[in-house]
Amino acid sequence: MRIWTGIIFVCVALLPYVAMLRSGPEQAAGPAAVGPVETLAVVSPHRREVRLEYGRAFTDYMRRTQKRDVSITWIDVGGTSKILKDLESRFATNPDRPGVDVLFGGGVAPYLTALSQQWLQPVALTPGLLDGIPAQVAGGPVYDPQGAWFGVALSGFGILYNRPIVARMGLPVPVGWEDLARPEYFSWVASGDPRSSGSVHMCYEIILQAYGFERGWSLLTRICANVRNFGEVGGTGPREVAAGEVAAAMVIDQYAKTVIDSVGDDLLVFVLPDRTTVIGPDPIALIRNSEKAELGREFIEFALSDEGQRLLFQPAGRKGQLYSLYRMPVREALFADPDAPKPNPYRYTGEGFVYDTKAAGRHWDLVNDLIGVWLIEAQGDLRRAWQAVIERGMPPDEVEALCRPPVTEAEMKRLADEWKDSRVRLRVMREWSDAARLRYRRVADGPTGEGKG
Amino acid sequence: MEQKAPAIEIQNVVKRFGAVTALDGVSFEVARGELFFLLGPSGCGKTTLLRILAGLEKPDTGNLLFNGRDVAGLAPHERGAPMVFQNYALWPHLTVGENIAFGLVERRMLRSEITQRLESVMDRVGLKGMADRLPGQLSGGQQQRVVLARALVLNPQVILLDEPLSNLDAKLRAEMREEIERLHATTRITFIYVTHDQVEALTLADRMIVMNQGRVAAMGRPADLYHRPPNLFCAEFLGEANILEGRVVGGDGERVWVETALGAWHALPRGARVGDRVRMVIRPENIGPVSEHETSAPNRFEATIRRVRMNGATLTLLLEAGEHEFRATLLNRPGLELVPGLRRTWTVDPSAAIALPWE
Amino acid sequence: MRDWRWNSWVWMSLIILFLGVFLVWPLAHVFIRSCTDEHGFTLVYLRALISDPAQLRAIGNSLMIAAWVTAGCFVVALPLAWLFARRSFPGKTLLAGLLLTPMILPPFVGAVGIKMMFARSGALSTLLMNLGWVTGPVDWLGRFPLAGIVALEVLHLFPILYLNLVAALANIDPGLEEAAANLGASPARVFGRVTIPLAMPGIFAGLILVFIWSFTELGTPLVFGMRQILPVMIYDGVANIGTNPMGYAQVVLLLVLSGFGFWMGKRISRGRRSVATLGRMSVGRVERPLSWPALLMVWGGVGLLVTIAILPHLSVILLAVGRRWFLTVLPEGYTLDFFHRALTFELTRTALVNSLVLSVCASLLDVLLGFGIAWLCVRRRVIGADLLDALAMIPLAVPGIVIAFGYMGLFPRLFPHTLMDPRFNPMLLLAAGYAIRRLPFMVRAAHAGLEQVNRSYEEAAANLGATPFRVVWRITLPLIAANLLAGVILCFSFAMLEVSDSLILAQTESYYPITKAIYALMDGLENGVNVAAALGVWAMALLAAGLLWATALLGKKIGQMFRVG
Repeated sequence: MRIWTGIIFVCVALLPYVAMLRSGPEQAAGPAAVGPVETLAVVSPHRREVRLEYGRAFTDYMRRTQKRDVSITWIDVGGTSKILKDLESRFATNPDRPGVDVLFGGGVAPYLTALSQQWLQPVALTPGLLDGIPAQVAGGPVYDPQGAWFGVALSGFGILYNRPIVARMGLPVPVGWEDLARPEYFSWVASGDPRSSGSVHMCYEIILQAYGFERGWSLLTRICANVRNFGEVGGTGPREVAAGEVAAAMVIDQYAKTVIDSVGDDLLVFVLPDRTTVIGPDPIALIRNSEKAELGREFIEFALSDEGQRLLFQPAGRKGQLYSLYRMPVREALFADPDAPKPNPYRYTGEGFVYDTKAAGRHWDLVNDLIGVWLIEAQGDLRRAWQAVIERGMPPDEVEALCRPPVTEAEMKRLADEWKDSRVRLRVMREWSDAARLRYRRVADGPTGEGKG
Repeated sequence: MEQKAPAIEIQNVVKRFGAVTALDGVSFEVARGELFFLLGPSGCGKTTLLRILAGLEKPDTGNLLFNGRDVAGLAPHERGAPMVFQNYALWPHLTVGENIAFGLVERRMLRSEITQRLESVMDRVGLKGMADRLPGQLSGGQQQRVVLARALVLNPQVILLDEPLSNLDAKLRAEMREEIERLHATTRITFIYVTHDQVEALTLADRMIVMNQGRVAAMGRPADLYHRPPNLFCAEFLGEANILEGRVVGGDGERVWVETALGAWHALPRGARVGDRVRMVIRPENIGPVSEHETSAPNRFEATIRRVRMNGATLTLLLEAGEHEFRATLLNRPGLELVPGLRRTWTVDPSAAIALPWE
Repeated sequence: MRDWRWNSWVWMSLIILFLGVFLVWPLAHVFIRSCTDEHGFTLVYLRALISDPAQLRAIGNSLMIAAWVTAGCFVVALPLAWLFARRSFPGKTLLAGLLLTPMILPPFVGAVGIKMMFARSGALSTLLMNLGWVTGPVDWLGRFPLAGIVALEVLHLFPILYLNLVAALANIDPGLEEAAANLGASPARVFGRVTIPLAMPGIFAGLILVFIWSFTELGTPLVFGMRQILPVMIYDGVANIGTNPMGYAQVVLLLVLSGFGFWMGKRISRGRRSVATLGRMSVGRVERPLSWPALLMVWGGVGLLVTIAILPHLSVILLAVGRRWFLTVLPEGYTLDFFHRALTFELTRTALVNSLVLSVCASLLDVLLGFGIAWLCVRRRVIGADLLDALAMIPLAVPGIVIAFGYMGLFPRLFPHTLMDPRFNPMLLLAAGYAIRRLPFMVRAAHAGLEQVNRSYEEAAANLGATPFRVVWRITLPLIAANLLAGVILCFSFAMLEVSDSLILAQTESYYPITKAIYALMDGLENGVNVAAALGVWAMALLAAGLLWATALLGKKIGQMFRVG
């Protein structure tokens, strides 16, 4: 008995290792390393598929062109906000050796924050490298003219929905952000937390800018009231839609295309809302005091080169690529490639509105906290209020009372400047927290309750 | 005993466990080749003493000398004093052979020599052909032999035995007693043997100490201690004793005269002087009937037989003389007409009445 | 025998050094940082913890989960324990074994399965719709977000409580119960007035353990996407550990609460134990057979329970082999592709290797430490050995998340860019963390072994000339090999599936152990869940085989491993 159970245990324990030896790894092992391997520490919110492709291709590229053995150590601390906190913590404890060399991915705004905190180091690229990259897309910059950050890929933001669920539940097929705010979508919307995911934040910011602060806020309030459960990361939305937990979510294009590819396009559909979305770059930057600044520059140049750009859209199987990444390159000429995503985003004129990257960066934290306190942490009360309003037939004044912005646009501007002061921040957030609960409970109680107040 | 350099010397050893004093200044010597007994009731400290000899306990104070060498600082494995454990302590995961050879392996002996010594010792203790068995497959007597062999095979200067026969039934015990005696006689290794069974000690011991409450109550050869016990504890522990109280009124240097409730007695003094109150110890087998007319016999007294118990070879009588009761043991010969209620005269040889000072 | 020999002291110093660096120091650091900041001593952060509504809600949620889980486990485990401790019936051994199956599934892997099964478009919802009992998908987990966590943890933890309760009931002298019956108490009264009070220490200890474990569970709420739970908030706070002392305050709260619970459990069981197990049993216990109707009920009831309890296992297996499981009761098709992917992904391959290395190191470390501690306590009785023993048992009361958080907060600052910096290379700290977490298992296994081995075996060996080291090597180790091996198996299996240390300490993909890889996969978009489930199936098999082997080695004493006190 003892011997048999022992043999079983050892067999079970060794099974995957034996099987592993038999089936090779997903990437073909290159020639054995000659010299010592240089490593580059890259912190990134990119999906592991993206990291894997860039890691593999960069090692290959350096070996081919410079006969150097390099590898990338990917540091994964979570979404964009966690990365910023991590950087803050690193620079606070050890400003001369942050232990990170390159920041890669995550939308423009965190780069503006990092730049203002002096965590980034401008890079002088090989002259001419930026020539094929337009300076602007849809009215926003693609790279920093001072060289602090460079867009590597372009992202679009839209709505992913689950066709059978929408049909089965008789929901209106979503074509614009407003659809997600409709009462039919109550509990059928998914969302990540904008405080921790840069791409989710982008969706919220886009709505605030595209519809103007007041209408945008009203829309966001109703969308958030419809959200079933706030997940943490940007992948929550697409995953829950794919699993059929919800009907639709606001997502970044690459996530949408990835789940569509793995679950099937008979189930999932991705739409870009007309005139109310943006195209934005996903940048890369060198961290200040990096010990591998030269290698970091090499990586940045590789990411912007033709070869690095092709990784973004090349189908799996070509040139050793294992995953299709479904991203749009920043090099305009590449859109002529048959594999490149269509349409060319540089043709997108930005009809409707122009996304203001600077403004978005300036009030990034403020918007996070505003949404965090009013729409996420108070979501329980918000949902109940919204449900009560829906049940009462959505009288316009009640909807207005529920969705009116808690601060004016002018106040937003003022608060954005004061937001660095953690005491002000703490005090205002406390006030909001109380005000939000009060407002939602009042609305939930109905006009009788509101009449008294 | 022959006057050689003592194999073992214990000097004033004290050992306390918390508030309990297990050994309270114990001293004695053991000569080379002796079969030396530590006898005493349970809890008297004899096992503790043995464990101290083995190095399994450390004395609080006192000296410990093996062949004149101080061994107090030596760890158990450095003592070279193998022990026969009361519960055998045969390792269940090793075979009989491995158990016995254990100490040899520890001494880095050559394999060939180990095999040879193993065979010889197993032969000697009567375990031939059992080397590959596991201890669990042996009977109690065989296990006892393995333990003995395990110690003997080392050919040590001294072997410590901790109540080795206590787990055996009566028949086996007698058998093993003889076995131990034979082994000791053939090897002449110094044996230190702990027991609470006085019969074992009296049968086997060359010399012994009787221990009581952490002290040495008596030391000497079994016959001396039995016939002339130095104190009451020793007298009562080693066999049965009748006690008669009295006062020494005179003496002639060899004998003393003791005034008792049963008249004036002649006795052998053990430290009692004229004027002392004493207790006389009389072994039951030393009380015998005497004819009324034989007035020359000393230590005569009248007593009534209250009870008669036949043991086979002997008879045990309960005698009543005034307020005193005596136990007497007689050889059971045909024709003895001793029945309860019979009153007659009894006598005790003066050399068999030991006068002990009042304690 | 107290012993002052130098080798005891060397052992002792090494053990103390290890425990000091990897257990006491991080804990002390956590305590100190929770009430100091750059300006010195302050209680601001601890006060903020009990005044900030968000924090309070998280604490409330965690307490609520723990309370419900404990109550749920009790309701399930008490009748079972009574049944299995007091009644005999055919198939008892089989059922008793089946009852332990929930233990073989790491709860956070189970959470993945349960989440799929109870999803809006998952199996249960679809089944009900197909049966026509409901019109639209039911949003079980969305409507009762805490219920899923509670249900899963109850299913996972009730065997632990059950083992504790069986032991508590079996320890009671039947004579005490017979006396009560003899004096006119009905069976129910005997149970209420004699049995339960006597078993109380054991019951209480088990309840405390379940409470602490569910209160500090990180993986399950994380997978269910609940953020407002204290351990999850701590996990989220790891990123800004250098700048925000709030995380320390949360950890201290966790630590104090679980430490207090553990202390209470100890106190109560110490006070009462002398009564419950005074001397030997005065009479042997006779297990009464069940009547036929009762037997049918028992089989039905326990069978149903086991069926429910293995639902998570089933759903994990289905996830691992199912092609698409959406609005269908069972997956649309079956494939082994996900197993293949689990073996070819760079992430999972490195994780498998990392975990193997870590678990082997941690179990070896545990053998050394555990045996060393037990030996010093039981055999050498060195001064301070009891303290050592108590120290080694601390990890029972200290949640893994606390230790990992302490490592994160302490070491990177003091030893940046060394092996003590998890951001640089977490392998050393992971191995140390795993070893510390599972040390109580090992100490207990070694303790039990040493106490069984009659001391005179060792004395006889020393007496025959073996040095202390040789005594241990030739006598002690072979005699307790089975116990040590069982301890190693458990340490190894659980280290393979350790959650909180792995999630917190492993920050770079090349150092991910299996659990962190599973978590990362679940966050991925390309069927990561299925690959994670494939790994989970293997993890289940590993734990099952490990428990089986350990049971074969230890026999009935296996229950002791999961008992408190």
